[in-house]
Amino acid sequence: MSLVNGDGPPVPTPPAASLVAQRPGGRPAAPREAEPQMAAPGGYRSRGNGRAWSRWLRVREASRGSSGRCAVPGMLAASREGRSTPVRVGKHLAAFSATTLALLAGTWLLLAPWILGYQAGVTSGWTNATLTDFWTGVGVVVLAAVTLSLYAGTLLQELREKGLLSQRRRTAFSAVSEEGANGLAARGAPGAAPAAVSGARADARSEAADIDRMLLPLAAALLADLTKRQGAPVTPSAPASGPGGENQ
Amino acid sequence: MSPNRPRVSPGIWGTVLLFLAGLWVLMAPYFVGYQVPGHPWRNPGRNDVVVGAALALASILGLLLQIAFWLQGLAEAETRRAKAGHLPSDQPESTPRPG
Repeated sequence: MSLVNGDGPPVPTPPAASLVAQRPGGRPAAPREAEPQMAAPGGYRSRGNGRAWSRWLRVREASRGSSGRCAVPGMLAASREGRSTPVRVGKHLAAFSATTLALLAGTWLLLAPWILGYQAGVTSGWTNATLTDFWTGVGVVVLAAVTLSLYAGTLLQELREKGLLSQRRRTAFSAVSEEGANGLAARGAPGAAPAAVSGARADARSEAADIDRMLLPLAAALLADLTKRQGAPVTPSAPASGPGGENQ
Repeated sequence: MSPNRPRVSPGIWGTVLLFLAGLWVLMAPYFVGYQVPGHPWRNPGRNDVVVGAALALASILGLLLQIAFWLQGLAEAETRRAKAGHLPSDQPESTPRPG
């Protein structure tokens, strides 16, 4: 079995059931489980491309839900502390859709007396119909806005709990300290810069990891699409252990 | 409550209130008296009945969908818990299994 890469001859690969990732030092890592459902696209499989291969493997593993399948539309899979937990999007979609419709209906009720013409002016005496529609519209708009914010809070909390959103937002202080520290380091001020630089860089690293985690399911879905379109073989192959290879 | 169990957003109570508001808008023309049953439709009466029905329908659909998703999540959480060896997911792994 072999896969043809775009920039080289076909590379023979071992059977999928006996895949063993080689570490750079020659010590074999734990054997990888054979996964016949998804294959890496052509660009991810070649000699000396171990870094891309291991990145693809991480993307694929992160895209899997608790059932072991790839992420499906309507569900985001997030891995937190070794356990995959799905985020149901349909529930939130239904809540947001209904509340947004209610917000629009309230706005319409608020304005209908003047748009439909059963209220002459703003200052002239209001009819019973205008009074009812206007104040009911105000109530519906306020209620819908509060409900929408409650749903948004629940969604954000759920995303934070499942690790798809950062627990702590980047504060203006950390941004300022990062810029200031970089400036100090550039001017060569000893002593003041290192602590600030390390704190700011730790912030930046954690944010980059968060963004990576959020984008992983999307990247996996894109890879699956590409694989399907290219009609690539469905059996993955072992990463070649080149000198620059990175296996995890 | 187990962290894996689906939770109900407090916003669901807002949706219930929006449903009641829709019913009020639907019936207001007859309660307030600017639409008399059996008489020809007037603009305010027709508008309120249509908007009220749409509001009530959207709210009840949103409510039912949320309840359905919540029940589905509950069933999946129970299935996961059963597959994990009948251990409640909020108990530590070191807890001895009953029996």
